[in-house]
Amino acid sequence: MKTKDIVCGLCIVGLSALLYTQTTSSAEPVFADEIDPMQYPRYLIYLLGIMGIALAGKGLVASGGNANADIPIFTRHTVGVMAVLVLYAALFVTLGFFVTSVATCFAIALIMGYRKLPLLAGASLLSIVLIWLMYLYILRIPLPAGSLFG
Amino acid sequence: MDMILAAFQEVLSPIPLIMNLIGVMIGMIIGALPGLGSVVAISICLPFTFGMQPLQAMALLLGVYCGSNCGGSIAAVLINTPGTPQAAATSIDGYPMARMGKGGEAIGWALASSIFGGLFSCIVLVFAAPTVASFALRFGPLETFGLILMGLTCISSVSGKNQLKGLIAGVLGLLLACVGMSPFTPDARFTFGLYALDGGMDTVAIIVGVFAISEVIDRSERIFHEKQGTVLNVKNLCMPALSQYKGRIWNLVKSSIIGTIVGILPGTGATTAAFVAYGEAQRSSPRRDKFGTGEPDSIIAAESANNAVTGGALVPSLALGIPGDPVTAIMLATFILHGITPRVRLMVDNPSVVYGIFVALAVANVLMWPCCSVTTRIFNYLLKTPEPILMGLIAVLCVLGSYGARGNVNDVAVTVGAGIFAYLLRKCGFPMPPVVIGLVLGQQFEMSIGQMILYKGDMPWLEYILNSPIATCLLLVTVFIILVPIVRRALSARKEEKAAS
Repeated sequence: MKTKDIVCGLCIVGLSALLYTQTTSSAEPVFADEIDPMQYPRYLIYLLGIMGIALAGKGLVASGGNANADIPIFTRHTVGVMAVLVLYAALFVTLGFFVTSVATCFAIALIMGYRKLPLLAGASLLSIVLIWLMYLYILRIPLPAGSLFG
Repeated sequence: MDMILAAFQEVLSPIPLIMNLIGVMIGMIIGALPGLGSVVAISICLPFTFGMQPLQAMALLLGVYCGSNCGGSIAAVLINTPGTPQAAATSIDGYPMARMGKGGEAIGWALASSIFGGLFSCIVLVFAAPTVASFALRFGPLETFGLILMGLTCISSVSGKNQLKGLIAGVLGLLLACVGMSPFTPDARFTFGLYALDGGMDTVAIIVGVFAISEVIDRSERIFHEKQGTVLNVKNLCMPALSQYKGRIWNLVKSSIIGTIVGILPGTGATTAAFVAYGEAQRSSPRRDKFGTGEPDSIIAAESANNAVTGGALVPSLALGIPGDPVTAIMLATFILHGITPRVRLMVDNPSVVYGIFVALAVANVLMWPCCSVTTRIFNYLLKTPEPILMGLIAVLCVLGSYGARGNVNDVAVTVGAGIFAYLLRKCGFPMPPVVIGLVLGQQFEMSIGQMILYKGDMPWLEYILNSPIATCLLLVTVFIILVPIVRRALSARKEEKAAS
């Protein structure tokens, strides 16, 4: 029995059910030759659900158990980086590109075990300034300044 | 022939040549930055062309076009982050090669294949533009459906031993492509009430998340379990020797043909070409078992096909005035701005301009070699940065790239969300390339199905399919591609059984 496959299969089935609920609210086609916009995704969802069941079933009958002693999915490092990235996306507009980018660069390196703090701070600051200059003057793509910078 | 020689003389004169070189260099650097592809690169250079002579402007933009197509593969190989969507197939084997310490070789294979693919499509352009343009007009929804279906079959070939998980990942990609407005009716799908998702999710934002952000999350833990010194190091670009092409030439030619044909068809593009060629190479290569572990055959297929698209895409643009993708649409606008009106008689009425464009494209392909060498050196300095700092920078560059592509802040959330979701899928053993294949081909696939249903009317399906020889051929080839591995596996299983008994 492969627990990981069973869990994955059940998650896929759950996801299919969740997505299916999104296809039930649509209005019927108005014109005779109009295509139902939910028909194609619905078939994909059925297929996904069936394959999810197959994966769970395969996990149930598979022999050998969970042989892989790979790195776990959630560790304090991976969760830390995920949290930093989510915060980066959430605060990107509010705090602006500069502050969030320097903080993200610094935090990810710190989580990954880099401990030369002055060097890290300098490298983060300098590289973000270079990226900012490149976006502003070469690529001419304005980046969010954030409320801190007006 | 005189026309071609005259065009060479003009393009190789100092100013157009310098413009071409600058274009390739700019394109390559922007293409190598995650998320910023050909459209951004050409848009940046467009305003500078207004004061130029037509040929100089064309040389600059064609250089940017070629350079950005090739530049995406440098980032794909070295940091597993395709700079452009069309380089996604390159990272499948390019990155494993780089991790084996063969990054320079992987880039060399990618560059040599890109140059070959680009030059091949130029030659096709010169000799067959009007003919192939009329062929492209015969591609309706059914033919497009056949082609996309053929592209989707490579989901199976990139899934390796995890066929079921690969198929699930492919369907997830197809579902991701459904998010947003339906292509036929004003109905929003899978938006969960969020208006920000009504316009759909940007493909670039998802691809950057799936490949790069998930890699950053994964490395954050893996770095503590690996020995020091696994950081990539590419001393120099290492071009493959001619002897190394033994047994690979047909793959190169075939992928270039695929790229050129796909490029000619409006609405398909380099990413489709790369995956169709990858799938075909995976099916026919004698080294197919090594795909995914650092096999140059897959890089050859993906890169020659995606760069052959550049020439192919110019065929309908120049001969018919039909842009195949956003990049050729911008190019078309530039042609018109400079007084070149694309139409069927352009080749007859204004051959010097047309041949000038073809030759500038060919020269741009050759100039990719020195430019790629310089870009690789720049990346080499970047790779000397300690890995934790490099990973932080990659994360920032990816988020900025996805934001910069459309200037939409929602794309930042999409990139991070896609990255976390992709990380979870990766850890559960789901391969990532099928997600991207499904995502890239999904919209065109649904569109072609809907158009087919509308065009077919009351005609029986079989009659409708048999009415089109091109579609019939494409569907038969697709069936063949699906059946061959199954039969091959059954035969080898029987052989093993016999040997055991």
